Amino acid sequence: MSTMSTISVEPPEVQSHASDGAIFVDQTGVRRRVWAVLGTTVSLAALAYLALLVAAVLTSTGPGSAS
Amino acid sequence: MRGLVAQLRWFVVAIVGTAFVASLFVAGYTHRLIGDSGTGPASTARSALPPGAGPVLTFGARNSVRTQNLPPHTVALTFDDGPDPTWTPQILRVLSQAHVPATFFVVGSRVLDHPGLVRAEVRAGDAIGVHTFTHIDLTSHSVTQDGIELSLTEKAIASAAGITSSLLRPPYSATPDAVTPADLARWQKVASAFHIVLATRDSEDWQRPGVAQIVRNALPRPGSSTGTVIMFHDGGGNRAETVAAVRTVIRLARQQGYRFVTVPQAIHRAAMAPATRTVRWEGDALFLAERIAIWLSRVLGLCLLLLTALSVLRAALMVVVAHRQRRRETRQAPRPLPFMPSVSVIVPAFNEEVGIASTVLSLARSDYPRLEIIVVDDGSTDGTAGMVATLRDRVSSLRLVRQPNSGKARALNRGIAQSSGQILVLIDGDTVVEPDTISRIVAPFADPGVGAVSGNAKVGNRGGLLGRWQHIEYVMGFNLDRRLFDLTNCMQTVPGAIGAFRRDVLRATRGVPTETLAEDTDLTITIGLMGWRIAYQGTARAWTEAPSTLRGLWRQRYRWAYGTMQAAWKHRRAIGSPAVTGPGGATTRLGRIGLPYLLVFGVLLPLLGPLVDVFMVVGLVFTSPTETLLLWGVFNAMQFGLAAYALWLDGERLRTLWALPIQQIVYRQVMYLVVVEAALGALTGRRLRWHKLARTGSAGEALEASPVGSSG
Repeated sequence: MSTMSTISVEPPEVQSHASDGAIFVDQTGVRRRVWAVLGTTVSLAALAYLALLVAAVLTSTGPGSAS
Repeated sequence: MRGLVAQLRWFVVAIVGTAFVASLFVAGYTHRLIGDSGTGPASTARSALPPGAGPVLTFGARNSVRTQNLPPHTVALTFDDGPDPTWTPQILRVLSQAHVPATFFVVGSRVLDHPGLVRAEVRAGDAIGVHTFTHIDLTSHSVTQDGIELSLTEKAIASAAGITSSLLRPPYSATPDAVTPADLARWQKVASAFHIVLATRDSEDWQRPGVAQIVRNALPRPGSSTGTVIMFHDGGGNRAETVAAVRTVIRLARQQGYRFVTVPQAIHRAAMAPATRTVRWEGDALFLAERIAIWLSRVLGLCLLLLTALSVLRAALMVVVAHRQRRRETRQAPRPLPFMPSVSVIVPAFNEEVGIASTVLSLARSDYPRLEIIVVDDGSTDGTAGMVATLRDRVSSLRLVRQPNSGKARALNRGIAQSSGQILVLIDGDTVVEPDTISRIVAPFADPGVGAVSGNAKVGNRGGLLGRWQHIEYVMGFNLDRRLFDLTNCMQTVPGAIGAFRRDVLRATRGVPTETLAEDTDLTITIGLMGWRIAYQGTARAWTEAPSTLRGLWRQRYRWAYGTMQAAWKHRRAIGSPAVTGPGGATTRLGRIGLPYLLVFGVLLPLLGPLVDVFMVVGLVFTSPTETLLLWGVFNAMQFGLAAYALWLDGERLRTLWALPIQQIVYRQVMYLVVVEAALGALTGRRLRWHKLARTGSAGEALEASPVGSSG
């Protein structure tokens, strides 16, 4: 015996899904700008540190200079 | 634009990661096992220097070597292997009280650690010389490494005391008659600009033979026509005997009419000079880089220690608790079902055309008598609805609900609203169940305190390596973690693939939450915080289709990780909250145990995971390879043991374990990176949406071939 029925549901007229999975989502764009500044700063600091290391090693190759 | 932002995010991670790895290597290099104190043989049959050669060597043009003796009746006290925070100040005090200058041959890495001691030596009028950066034997390393060792030490001295020195004492050197041609050739190659300072008297204090013996070894030979260079050590071990011996040697040498000088004073050379601004700057840069490296490695070391302790504790707890939970489950299993509420199974489906028939038909074969099946077609663009419609003649009580595409949580809520059962079983549209799965997952609801039950989701398509890895991961997650959560009443996720809920509970939660992308974790935590007990039923098996490509796996796990972080953030105020007793009389401990566990092992550990691997490599290269390999072996053996135990608990074949070692090298790192990207996405506020995975309808593959078959 088949008792299957199909129910079609119309889209909710006014309900917005904008809040779905919205935790953490940067709604205003402020956080994106803050992170852009922070990311740039951290990257530059890391790059400077790497440069420091590279300089320390590059200037240390070759025979001892007894400078 | 979004792609560019994502790439920039990874660029930041790559740069910071590279800097971090580099700093670990710096820390490893500067603090690797420094060579032991010691001197070479007292003499050699084939000395490269003529008999009676002086202890100070200066290289000239055309490979010429000039040796120089100290003036008669002079003594130069020299100290190697420092500075040392315990012994150097004591030596300095003895020298200061006797108004005697000395020459300190310092180890560069120790200078970086104790720059103040070098400054104190210079202030006291002592001379400073180079003794390499990590106390290496110059003749047994490459010319390049020798050069680096000498240059780094010069920079360290320049940073510490603002001077440079042209004095060098090669580690493991001794008296002129012990210099071999190989020694001389190497020193000439890498240190021709230095004055090589050997010794005429080796106190052998590093062997700690007793104060009297050190004094005998050190005192100038009676009647010597030249001055004496005495070798002591102020670092590299316990130097209490040295401190006492130096005091005696000064007194006795003075009584014999000797005058004390530094090596530069003795050879009448300006061996020390103010460092140029460039060298000082290079030294400061080295010092800063080393300090940062040491600080970072200490922080990471502490984190690792803590996480290792937690992981071992967790593993031990899992083994004990999983065994107990399994025994309890086995005792309960054979009983007939006295409790048989009406059940609605809700299957949300979006583009599940290839697998939905298997899902529905497996439900139709269920031995549970009072079953309603509701498929919610969430606006599929393929033939999902049509496929369900073709089943109408074969499956009783099957209903199809169609809605515009609104997401999984809303599809589930639609199904819940249309259902009538007292117990609601939620399963994915790519999952097939065994005939007794529904009966078994419903059984725990006989306990009025149980609000939800997690089934045992198993990977159906486990043919390839990726499938096997996920299979092992699922089996461990369900048979170890969830059994632990069951007994401690702190379940964090009833999986979307197979879970059952009391209708009253879902009414109280207002259905399935939509704010997070891990709606199953969010819902489970919500229920747990209401005080409902959430049980695990390992015998209620459901076979699901795991991603069969790395890209698909990455997307799925990214959503899981991001959603888990969302759920943890949403319920952050509950972290640390006391146990809750719910309407059914059960007590849950999500606040004190479950949520912290989720944060530590679900977020923090994967975030630190890549660093653990780098730390291991650094340990392998710079510290102790044997200890590092042993630690790595113990960790892998623990993982292997846990996986074997989980497979055994689940009645699975152990031969799958061959894939585990490879999982530790590839899969684990990919999973770590997924969590890193999810954390970056969360921090930067990136919106993530569901990505539909490509389905092949292979969820039932392993069910057909499984040794546990359909009855379990």
